[in-house]
Amino acid sequence: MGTAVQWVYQQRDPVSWSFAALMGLSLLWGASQWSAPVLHKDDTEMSAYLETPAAPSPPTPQPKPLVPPPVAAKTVTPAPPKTAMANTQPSEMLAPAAESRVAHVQPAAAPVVAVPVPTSVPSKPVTAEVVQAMNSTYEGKLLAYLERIKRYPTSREARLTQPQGTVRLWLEISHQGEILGAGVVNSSGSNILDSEALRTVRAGQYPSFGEAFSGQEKHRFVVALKYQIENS
Amino acid sequence: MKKHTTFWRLSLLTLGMAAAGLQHAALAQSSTDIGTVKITGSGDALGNGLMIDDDSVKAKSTVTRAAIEKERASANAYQLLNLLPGVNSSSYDATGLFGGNLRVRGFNSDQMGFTINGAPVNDSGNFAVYPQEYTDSENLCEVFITQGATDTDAPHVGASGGNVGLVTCAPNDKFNVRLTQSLGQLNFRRSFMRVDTGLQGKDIPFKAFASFSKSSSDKFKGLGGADRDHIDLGFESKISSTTTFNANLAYNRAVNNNYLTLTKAEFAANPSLDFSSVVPQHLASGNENVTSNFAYGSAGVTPRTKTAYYGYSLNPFENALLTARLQSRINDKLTLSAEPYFWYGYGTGGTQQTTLAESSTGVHGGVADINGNGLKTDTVGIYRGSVTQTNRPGVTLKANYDVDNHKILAGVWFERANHRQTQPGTTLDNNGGIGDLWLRNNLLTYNDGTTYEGRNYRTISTGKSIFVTDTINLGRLELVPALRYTGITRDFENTASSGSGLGADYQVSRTYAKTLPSFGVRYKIDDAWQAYGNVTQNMRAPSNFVLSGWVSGGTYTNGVLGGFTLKPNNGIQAETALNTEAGLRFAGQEVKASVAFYQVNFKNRLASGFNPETASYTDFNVGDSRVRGIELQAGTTPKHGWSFFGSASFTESVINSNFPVSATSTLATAGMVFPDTPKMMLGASAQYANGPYLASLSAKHVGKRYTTLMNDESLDAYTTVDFNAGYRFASSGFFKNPTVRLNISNLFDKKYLIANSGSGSSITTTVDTTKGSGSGVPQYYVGAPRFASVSLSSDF
Repeated sequence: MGTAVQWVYQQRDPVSWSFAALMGLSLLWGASQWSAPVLHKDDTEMSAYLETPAAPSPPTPQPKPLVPPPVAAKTVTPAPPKTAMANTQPSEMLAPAAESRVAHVQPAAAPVVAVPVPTSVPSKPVTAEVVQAMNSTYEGKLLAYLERIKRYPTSREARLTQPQGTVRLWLEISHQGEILGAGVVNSSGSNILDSEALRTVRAGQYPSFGEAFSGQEKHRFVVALKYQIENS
Repeated sequence: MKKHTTFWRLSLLTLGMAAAGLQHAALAQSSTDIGTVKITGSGDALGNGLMIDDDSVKAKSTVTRAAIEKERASANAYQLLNLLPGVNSSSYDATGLFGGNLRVRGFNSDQMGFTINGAPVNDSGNFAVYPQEYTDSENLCEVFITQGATDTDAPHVGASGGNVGLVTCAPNDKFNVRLTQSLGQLNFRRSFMRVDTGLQGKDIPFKAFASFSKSSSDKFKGLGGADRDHIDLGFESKISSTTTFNANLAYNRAVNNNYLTLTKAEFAANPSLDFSSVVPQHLASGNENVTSNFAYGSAGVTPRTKTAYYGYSLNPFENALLTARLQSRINDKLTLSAEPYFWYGYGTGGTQQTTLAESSTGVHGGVADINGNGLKTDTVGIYRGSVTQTNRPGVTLKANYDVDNHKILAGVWFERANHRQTQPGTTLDNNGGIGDLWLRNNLLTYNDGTTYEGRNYRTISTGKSIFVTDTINLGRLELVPALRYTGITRDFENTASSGSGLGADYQVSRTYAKTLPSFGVRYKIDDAWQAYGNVTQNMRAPSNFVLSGWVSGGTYTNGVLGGFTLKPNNGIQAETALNTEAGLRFAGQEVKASVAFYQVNFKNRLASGFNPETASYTDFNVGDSRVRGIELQAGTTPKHGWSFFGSASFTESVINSNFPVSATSTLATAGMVFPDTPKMMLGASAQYANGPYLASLSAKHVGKRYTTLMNDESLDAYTTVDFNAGYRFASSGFFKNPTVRLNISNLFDKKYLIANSGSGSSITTTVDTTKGSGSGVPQYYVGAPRFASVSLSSDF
């Protein structure tokens, strides 16, 4: 009995090692199971919408595949200098916009017609429902994409001060998915968070609209980025 | 207050409408609100809390609340960092109450800058770090480490090898009371209580917390233990919509008995060998010396026959750290902040048991009669310790300016540390009683009535730096040029004492300053991949003790030394390190990973040796050296409750020059590996968290380490495995989230040794004792055996 216990005891090194190896292997397995980004799922949903009988066949260009484009092919638009839009003034103006996902929220003070006027008309007539569906699908994609690239700031200053708050941003995206500009609508109260939010959206590589927004040249979106620290 | 707000709102609205009118043409199309994206900064996305999404231009690792709360509540910062890449840390025991060692990329903890809430906590004289003194882990939100490139805006003059930051949690928004009670082997007891006020105040909202903890544990070998009392206070207030103020106070008071360090031969013969259990007895003759029964009493333990009494080898220390931050957002571009702090520390350490000879000659006329027998000829057993008292105020002022794609951070740091180091003695009785173990009262005197001191210095260390960092965002490319001018002036004042080379008053001042540039770059390859790199110049000023012990020769007349000369120790210069790093990061939806390649080139590398029995340090200039390596880390997001983390570190270190042991001879250290710097380390953690259940298993492998400069002694590789489990019960009655936790350290009871250096490299030059100063048989701390504890906690 004593020798058996001693034998087990003597095996403690191999046992420790086996555990380490097992965990290493598990880690590798985990890595190999890494699945494609969520965005592809949205692609599938998009296709499903387009295949519905009521929908017209999409004209070119086809929705851009969401694989990141080659590095050299992409020219990132330099960030526009902060205009009045980037300041806090319009924030009050835009404040009534609901936090929830609402398509086509108008800036309260901007007297524009309720439905956006398409800048280019699709070749075939499209029902309002389909436009709505395609638009909200694009919005969903955009939101999912931002979910993927979001990041809490990692500078020493940010880690020490751990700021919290919600930044509301506007970003303008071209039909081809290029970011044309971005700015702060409502500040979080922390410049660290505001600039991190801008950095996040400016570095994004967005999908093209496809049929959404009735083929507009560009479209302006508003998104809220809520930064928080969860402690005990 | 309220009226002001309304006024501002109205005027902003007016301005906004005007702006909208101007911009109307530009807003030809409508905006679509797509909703809210939530971002948490606590790194919960990766279940183990050992990694966060990082974006910086340097290698960096972060441990968050999610990891900290799973560890034993008494764990110190070194233990929390253990699994991270590049980190070789160890604790003298499983509870963390006795301190430990930390080494990163071959750098020792005293070559790294430590901060709590941004305030530096390294010893102002020798940069030593005592992790057991800091914040209670329940109040700790985050520990981050930059493995090589010291942050430009960090307040350090002693950080040639990166920095570590501890960040305490803000007070809770809701009123809450939390109680935690831990019990474990070796009479481990820990009680913790925290009260949060919740958000209070209408015009000026504020929140605060207060916590108190009391911990104790026995040693796992030998007699004695540790007692620690700790208080943390936190306060946060929003003074106005743009200005916040917060403050934290950490107070710590602890006494622990030391563990005896052993040679490999002693460990092989008796791994439990420790300090003696026998109280030394004064001799009736009054004349005691090291070979008499006063000094040593351990009963014939092979191979060492003499060890001091455990009760006379103590670490009493008391410290308080007050930090505050006043931050004001001036406009959407500029934020200003002021971060004052004050550190107070008092304590002694090492083995205090010694003998002292009475005398009628020498400094201050010699040591007065100790045992009161009327003679001045006895050698008497006493308690004497190196006492350090520090009063250290400082402040960091910063301006953050965001303009276009530039984020500019500029600031200044200034501190003035008043650091008094003495070595008084007190009497001992035959029952183990000490005159005053804190060495504040009942002190021995000289014949002229002044207090006896084995050393008596005051060092005013004035540290300062001016820094500027620009983070330039060019879309996918980010450039971070930075410049820091940092320096320290040490005004050293020696008051005549009994120590060797300290017999006369003298004053000396030295300034060590450098301009330290750095350049970082980050390139976002796509949404998942990014590459980064940086070149950073770091420096570390020599410790203040290189300014001590300069008195040579001379004779005493009426207790005052005359005819002496001062022999400056000018061989020691500031150590500089050029850190070059490049790495890749991958941030997938389910796996996040990073790899870092680095090289550090040292000039005038300082190595300090620490002797725990005398608590004294020595600095050596070991010439130039180089360290390079690869570090990997990877973590997964939880899937079906499972999440994994792994890290691997490969380090290659080379000493480039031979080590001078005397004016005429050198040791052939060129080409040798730096001590206590393993070639390979692995860390892994697997965690299962589902509903109320939580379990995690983590392993750390540390490769073979050399422990002498000549690489003629080494310690074997070891692997330790820790197990943590928890269960959260349903809330009922008064109890909210009652939780029970089990923590087992060193699950397989691995026996191993830890290189001995409370701080400083273990700088035994060679085991060949004929090679003069610095040679000898190295002694090591014994790795803590398996240790289990449970804790119960609940909110109310």
